[in-house]
Amino acid sequence: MTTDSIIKIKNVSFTYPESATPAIDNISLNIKRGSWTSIIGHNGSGKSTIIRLINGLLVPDEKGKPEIEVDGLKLNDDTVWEVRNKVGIVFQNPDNQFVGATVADDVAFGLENRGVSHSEMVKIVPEAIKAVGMSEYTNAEPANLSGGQKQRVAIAGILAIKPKIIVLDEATSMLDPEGRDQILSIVQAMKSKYDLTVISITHDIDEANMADQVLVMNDGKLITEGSTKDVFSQVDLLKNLGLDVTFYEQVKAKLLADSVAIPASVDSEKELINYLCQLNSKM
Amino acid sequence: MSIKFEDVSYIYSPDTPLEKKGLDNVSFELQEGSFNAIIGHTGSGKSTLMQHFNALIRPTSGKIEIAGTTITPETTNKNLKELRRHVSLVFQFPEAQLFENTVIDDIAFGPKNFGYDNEKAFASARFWLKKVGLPEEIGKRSPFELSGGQMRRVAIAGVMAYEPEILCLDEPAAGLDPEAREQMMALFSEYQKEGHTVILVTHNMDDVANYAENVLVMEHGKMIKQATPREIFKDRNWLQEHHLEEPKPSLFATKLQNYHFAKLPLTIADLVKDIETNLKG
Amino acid sequence: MSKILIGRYVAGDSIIYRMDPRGKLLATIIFILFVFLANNPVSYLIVTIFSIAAVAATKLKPKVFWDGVKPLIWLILFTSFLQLFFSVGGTVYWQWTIFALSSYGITNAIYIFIRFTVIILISTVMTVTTKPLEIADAIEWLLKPLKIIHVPVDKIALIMSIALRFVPTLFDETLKIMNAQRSRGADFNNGGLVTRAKAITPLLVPLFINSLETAIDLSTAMESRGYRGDQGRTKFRILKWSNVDLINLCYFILLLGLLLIFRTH
Repeated sequence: MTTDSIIKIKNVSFTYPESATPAIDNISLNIKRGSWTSIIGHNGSGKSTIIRLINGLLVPDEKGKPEIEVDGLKLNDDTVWEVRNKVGIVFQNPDNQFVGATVADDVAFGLENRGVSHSEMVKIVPEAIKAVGMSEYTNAEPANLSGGQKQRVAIAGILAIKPKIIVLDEATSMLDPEGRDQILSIVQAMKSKYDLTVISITHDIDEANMADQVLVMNDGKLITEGSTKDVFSQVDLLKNLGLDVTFYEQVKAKLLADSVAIPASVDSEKELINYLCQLNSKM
Repeated sequence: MSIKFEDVSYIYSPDTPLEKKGLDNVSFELQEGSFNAIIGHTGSGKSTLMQHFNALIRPTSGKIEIAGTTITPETTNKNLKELRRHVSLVFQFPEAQLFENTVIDDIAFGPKNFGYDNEKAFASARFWLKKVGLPEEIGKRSPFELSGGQMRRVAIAGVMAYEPEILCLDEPAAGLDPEAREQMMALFSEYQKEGHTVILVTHNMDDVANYAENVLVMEHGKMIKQATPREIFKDRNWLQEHHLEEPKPSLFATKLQNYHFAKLPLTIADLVKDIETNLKG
Repeated sequence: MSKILIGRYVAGDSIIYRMDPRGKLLATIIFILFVFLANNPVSYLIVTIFSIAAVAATKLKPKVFWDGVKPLIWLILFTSFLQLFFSVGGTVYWQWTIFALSSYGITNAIYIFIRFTVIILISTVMTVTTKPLEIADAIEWLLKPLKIIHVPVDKIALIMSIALRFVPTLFDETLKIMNAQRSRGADFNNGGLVTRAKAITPLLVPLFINSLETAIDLSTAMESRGYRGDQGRTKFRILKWSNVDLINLCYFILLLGLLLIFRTH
């Protein structure tokens, strides 16, 4: 199992300079190649910090011999730029990550940084813009784009450098429902097309539910991890941590409370609907 | 007194190449003391409409009657304070408006501007700090030391502290965790039940279903429908045509194919009740 | 919502729009220098015809150019006025204490007026037909020789382009905060100087803090997108000279030639 982990984190802690308590408290975890992983937890639980440790924006505390490995590469001063070639991050605020003066310029930014030749860039940039459906906006300025469109451009900028891992750091939290759905379906399509590993940090329970596995964080610690079904069925734990509960789990809990018998094995929306339909036809 | 919009239009950057219709002949009436929701896509004119409520922008043509004031294209910037004391706006991500040294000073900023004396302003600030669910000690801290969620609550308290008759909110719960979200919505609902008018601009159809009694639907600067949530969410084809979402309980109910629903459930409580009625036969 | 025009760029389509910004910037600078070669009626007429031709070639409404001249009209008139009454020489028509109206004064006033106006017109041709970003690119090109003395030209260029890119964002943010504070009863329009200066604190503090946050976010995003200073950076945006620019150049050589022939030596 561990051989096909694209990210391996061992004994990692991180304390912000001005803080007494660690933001990340001795975490070890693995993320499977080609998987979709959600990280949930309330604000300040350390979700975003862990991403910044993975691509070397932050450096872990020295105690406990921390180790971070990305796609077989041990993260250190020499490899940090190579690691950043493998990890693309879409951040929360669409405005604050748009560097270029136009869509094309922004998509090219990562390529320019890597010294890609002009003749290569003119091939890659339009392709990446097309992949996110923004071709007609190639020369548009950011002021004329919606938040959702800006996030699509951010994804194009990441696709242009052909990464292995794409991270959504609350990337949909400032968008309207339509913008959010578009971003998620683009990421889903790109994931299968380019064999990407997706990590999504989110408050949105429906977005978290798209994952294969979920990590729950609280106060810098990893509280629990597992498949979406396993994690989302722990309704009490999620509620105690102040986290959202999926809609079907809410319905299930209410029906159980009113003594409608629902077996514990029913743990997805589809199963709950099937079960309720069966129950009704028996009546 | 009701709020009345008569043929209100608004044009952005008139007579320039960037000219754009923000509002297109909008007319409606809102009842005093009601809970209203305004829904529609980004760019449909919701925010433009909201800024008309306290004359932050004035109509290019048409007339608005609100809180005893008549706003027309001729209305000037003078003497709008009285209007704004009665009609207040909470913008999206209102935490961006905090500026004072301490939380309590920031909440008292509005009341002081609207003529409360010092003592009354701070008393009101302390009251609303508690109302939004923050402990008293936070009052002495700098707003910039707080978490995002706490800052949001402070900003909302800062607008409610002068108790406007009409409270307009643009996505006040966006980005809050579920607990805070529920608390804030409950607070607005309580405020309405105390006799104030609440106008909520939102994308969240569950909030619309749970709290609103009247819904305005905006599209391309026009108001395309005004009705109760039940009316709005009844017509699935119409919703899809206008790319509007449905409340989660309704969606769930439609998937229960062999169930019979007299009325499509809009809230989770209704849904659970209807499921149980079906099961009992 | 508010899409302000950064700088004075006006969307349009004509030969001037298709010119390389470097060519336009150079031409503007050269023209401003040439104007000072004019020293007699014929040479001033040539300069005037040239600038009117350039204005006409933009195919924009005259109002655009009037808007360029308007803010400076009093300065132009005042300077011409000084020339009119304080120049001495030629035939004196009228004199009172230190004021004198002479033939010299009249011609000098007309010359100054033309000189000022044509310089503004040609600069306006440049700024209304060239996007701010293109002007920044042209300035970068012009500064390139300074690289030899280790001036970080690429960094300056990136800073210019990011600054330009954030102007509308900052403008929107300012408007939003202003409206939020207005809703809370703040008054930015009334009162004396001190009251107004005080009233601006609720606007400036949040704006400063938000800008700081934007800057931090932006630097994080840039770093994670592989920005590590200038080392090994390539450029996506490349300017290309075309035939139009050759014509532009010929146009100005012609102007220089005519001026040299017709000015008084």
